Amino acid sequence: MNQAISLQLPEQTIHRAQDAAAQTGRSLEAVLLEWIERGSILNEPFAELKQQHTLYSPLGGEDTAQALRDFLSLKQESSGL
Amino acid sequence: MRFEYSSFGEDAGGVLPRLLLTLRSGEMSIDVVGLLDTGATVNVLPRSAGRALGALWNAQPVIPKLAGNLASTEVRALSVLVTHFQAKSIPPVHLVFAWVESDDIPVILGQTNFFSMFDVCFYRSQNSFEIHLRQ
Repeated sequence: MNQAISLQLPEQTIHRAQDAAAQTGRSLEAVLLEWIERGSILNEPFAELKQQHTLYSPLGGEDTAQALRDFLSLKQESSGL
Repeated sequence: MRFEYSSFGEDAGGVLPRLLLTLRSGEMSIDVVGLLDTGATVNVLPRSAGRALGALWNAQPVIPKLAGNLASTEVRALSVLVTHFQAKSIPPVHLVFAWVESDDIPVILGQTNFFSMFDVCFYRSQNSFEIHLRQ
């Protein structure tokens, strides 16, 4: 069941929340609710470490990176960019 | 322009720096969520995203394979025009992707060439990040 509570927030916090709401097209309440929920997760010790994480980063693919840069240069030259 | 860290779907990674992007190739376009990954050497595009853009696997040049958990995956180069529909002030840019034959990976925005096109500043303590097109 939802409950309504009143909070006194610093102006700086309100401005940041208003900016976030405007940038993401959400309501001020939705932004504040997300921040509160996020804070409660972060405050739970090692909560994120209990989950299984996948490491995607293709580290060390320097040859691949060089090939992509060459490919992009070629595309840009051929399209006159 | 500043963006919030976000969660996406059932991704166990929690809140991460992600961007909503529109990728265009010819007449085709798709909306994707890209993960900003400073540890990634290259941008990575999953198989289905490239196909949805109308790209033909065999028509794209083969490039050296990636390292890490994608080491066994064949890779092709694919260049696409990218816009961010929440940031109209950022003009479209050409990003080049390592198009992998796998869907077990999100769209990754890495050093070549996302981070060479954009200056990015992370504010992890505030769960936000800023992006500016390079000068």
